[in-house]
Amino acid sequence: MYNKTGIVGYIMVDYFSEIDKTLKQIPKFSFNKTVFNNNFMQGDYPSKKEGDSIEFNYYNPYTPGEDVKKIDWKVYAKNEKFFIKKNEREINNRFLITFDKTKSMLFKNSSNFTKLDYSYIVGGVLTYMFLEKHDSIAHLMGRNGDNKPYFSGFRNSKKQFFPMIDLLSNSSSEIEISELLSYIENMNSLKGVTLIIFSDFLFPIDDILKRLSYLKASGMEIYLIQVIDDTEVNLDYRDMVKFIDMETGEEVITDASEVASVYKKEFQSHFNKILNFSYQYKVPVFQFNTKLKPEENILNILKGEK
Amino acid sequence: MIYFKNPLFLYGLLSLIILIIFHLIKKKKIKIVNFSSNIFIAISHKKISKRLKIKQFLLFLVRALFLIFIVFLISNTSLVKKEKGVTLDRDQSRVIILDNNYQMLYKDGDKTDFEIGKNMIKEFLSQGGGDQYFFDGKRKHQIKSSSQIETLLKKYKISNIDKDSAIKNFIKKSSEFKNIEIVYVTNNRSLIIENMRYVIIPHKNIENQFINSISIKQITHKRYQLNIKVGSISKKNKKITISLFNGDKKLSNVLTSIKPNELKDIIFYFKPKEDSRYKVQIEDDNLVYDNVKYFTIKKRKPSKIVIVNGDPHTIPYLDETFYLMNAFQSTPYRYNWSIDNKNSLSVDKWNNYDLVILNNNPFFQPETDDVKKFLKNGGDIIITLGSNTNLTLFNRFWRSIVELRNFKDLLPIRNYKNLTHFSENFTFLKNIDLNRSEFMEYPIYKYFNLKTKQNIDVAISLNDGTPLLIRKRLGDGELYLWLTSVDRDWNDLPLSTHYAPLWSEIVNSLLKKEQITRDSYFINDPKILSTFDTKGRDNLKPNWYHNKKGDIFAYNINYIYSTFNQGGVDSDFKTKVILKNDKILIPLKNWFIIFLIFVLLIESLIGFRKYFFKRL
Repeated sequence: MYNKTGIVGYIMVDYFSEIDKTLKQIPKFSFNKTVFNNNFMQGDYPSKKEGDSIEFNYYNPYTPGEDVKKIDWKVYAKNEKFFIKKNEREINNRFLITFDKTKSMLFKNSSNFTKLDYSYIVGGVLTYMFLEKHDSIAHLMGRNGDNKPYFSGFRNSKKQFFPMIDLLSNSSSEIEISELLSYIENMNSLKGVTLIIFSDFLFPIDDILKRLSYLKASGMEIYLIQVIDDTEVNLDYRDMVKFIDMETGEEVITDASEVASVYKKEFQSHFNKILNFSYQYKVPVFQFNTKLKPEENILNILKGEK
Repeated sequence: MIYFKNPLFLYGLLSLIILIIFHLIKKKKIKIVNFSSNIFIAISHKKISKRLKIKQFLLFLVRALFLIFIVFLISNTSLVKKEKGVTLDRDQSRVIILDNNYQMLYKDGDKTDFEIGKNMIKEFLSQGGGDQYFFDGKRKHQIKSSSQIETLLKKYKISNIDKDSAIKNFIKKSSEFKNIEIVYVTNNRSLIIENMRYVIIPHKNIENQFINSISIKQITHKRYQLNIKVGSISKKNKKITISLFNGDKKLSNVLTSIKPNELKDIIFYFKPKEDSRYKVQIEDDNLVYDNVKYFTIKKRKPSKIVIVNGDPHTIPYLDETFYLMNAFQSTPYRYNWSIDNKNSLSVDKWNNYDLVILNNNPFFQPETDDVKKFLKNGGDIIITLGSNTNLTLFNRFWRSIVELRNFKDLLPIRNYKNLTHFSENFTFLKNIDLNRSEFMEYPIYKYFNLKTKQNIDVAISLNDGTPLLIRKRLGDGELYLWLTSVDRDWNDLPLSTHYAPLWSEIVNSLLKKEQITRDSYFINDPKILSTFDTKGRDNLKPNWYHNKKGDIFAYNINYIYSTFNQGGVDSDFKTKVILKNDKILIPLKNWFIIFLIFVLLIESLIGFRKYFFKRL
């Protein structure tokens, strides 16, 4: 967890302590007042019980940390693999938090955290807050050994918090948001699931937005959280700079101080696209600047500021 | 063609290389940044890249121009324009003035510049045009025929009268007539008169020598030494003859060779006649105006001295003035002295004398202001005290002139004292060397005890520090106060052999200061030289001469020669300059200053602050 990763070579963050720090800054009563609460499909008060309905829904491969009780031993007898039998949940509060784990998310300049770290911390805080309310929550990010996105499965026990966060930091190689979306699209019973996407959205976004609109139409609640570094907004460089794209490796040499003004306009117009989408499909969008502390951004959400 | 007066500064253009390196290499210093996404940067870069390139190029251009203009400005750049012949506009009314100062007699070939100028004027007039005038220094004549100008030019001669003011006045008047051009034909390149068109007569080969200075020194009563400094502006060694004339009679001559740029001393020994006119001349030299020097030796008038005797006696050795008269008779200097025994000389008559000696005077009450005026105008006073001095009157009056302390209780003190100290500031004391004489051993029985203030010089003092001889300067005049008597009643000093010399030296030092004469030379003006050896300025270079008012009158040939060597006329004329077959330099200084301001404006527009300071 504290080792250097091979991707860019940055020291990983102690997510637990960061999440702990952030949670301490957030007043407990606001846990029940999140913006996300307002969008619950049914019921005002979440059930303590999780998906224990009689109707069988689907099998999910077992991941370490899950309750051993839930393993379907019959399936194990057949396949010699651990599967968990998932029943359709009767409760409505299901959150699916997806993290864009591309190289661009590893950028940091004006903050102590990379955008990914920041997303993990905020995502972790949200996870804790949801679990506190006995909502079920799942993480979707990275890739599995079989080259598929890693899906943690919906959890609703506070005990699951630590293994979930632990997995966040250990999740393997990068994955684009479009792949994550296609994974979600293939999932059954999306109705009532609240999808929270952490990404910088610094890529051609038209296609993604289209697909998101379909997901929205299929009954999903979607929240977009754009995590950006302050440098990406203002381009605070001077003189001649060689910009190397962290994802494609493409190089651009330009006078940063000259380019900045045009860049800002371009950046804003890109964000405006997302905003337009937000107004059109009623998809809330939040911009998290990593310059601010995580709790500040979260409290801003709680206040209803986008 | 461009002419640079200070071409060394052109090396400053090498700074352009630094600028080019700065613009080319500095660019390569690029910061490398791993950035999350280049999408927007690439789009923005495409949009501004053209603009950026133009901006960079403009900045480079502006800075390069800035450097070039500064270098050109420092190296005093001028535009060279060749003018062949002098052509004047037709149908133009003009007044022609021919310079008739002495330097116009300069010969560069067969003809003098004055003759060349005359021919040029004839040439101008033959070209025709509107109304043509000739100004002869007094009034302008309208020229209607060629015979008229012939006669006018024949009458027109060289003079040493300062014509500048006449021309300036004339131009002031003629500015009333519009559309009249004033053409000044001269070989003098230093004259700057506005609104005038110059026609300058050119010179080519100058091989001349000049007399820099002369001084005369008396060696014996019959023999005098004349010291002449001769300089050369020729590029070769030249043999010249320098002659000394008395009127037209040649007294002697010296043949000498002189190196380029040498300043050589030539000495004549002769016995001059007083009030006679002498001339020193470099012969066989076509330079006219500074190869002749005139001088006369004039006798100095003897200075007039009056002694106002306060206590006349019929027995000579009882009379104090007797000792003073003895002193003056023993000097080699000639003074015209007289004695006023009746004590009747009023202050207003003092102006007839150079020196007034008030000897043991009872002190009538003269008017203070008159005495002060007498001193300020250069008159000198010596006061000696004695038994006859009316101390209350002396006190009341002299206190206002000589600020001395203890005046109130001024009474002679009877005490035996000796002299101890002679001030080194008084040159006349050095001449007689009293320190080594027996003069100091003679006692003083009686004296006035005074204490001096700072602005009063003490020449001689007693062994307890009491001043004995003090000096006060007022204007050009000096006042000496002898605080004991001059006769033997109060001291034994008259017994000394140095007593008379002391007084004669005091008087001589007072009267000698008139003999300091001015050292500047006037062109062809008879120079009055004193027979005393005055310390002249040896390094006086003949760069320019004065007119009688002390204004710069004409540059000498050396200066003109150096300007020709530089390849053009060094001129900051504010008016049009035309040279016959010569180059004209049009100074571009003002243009470069305008360019610089313009360039700075552009630089600031392009983002002077943003770029210039950050990058440099």
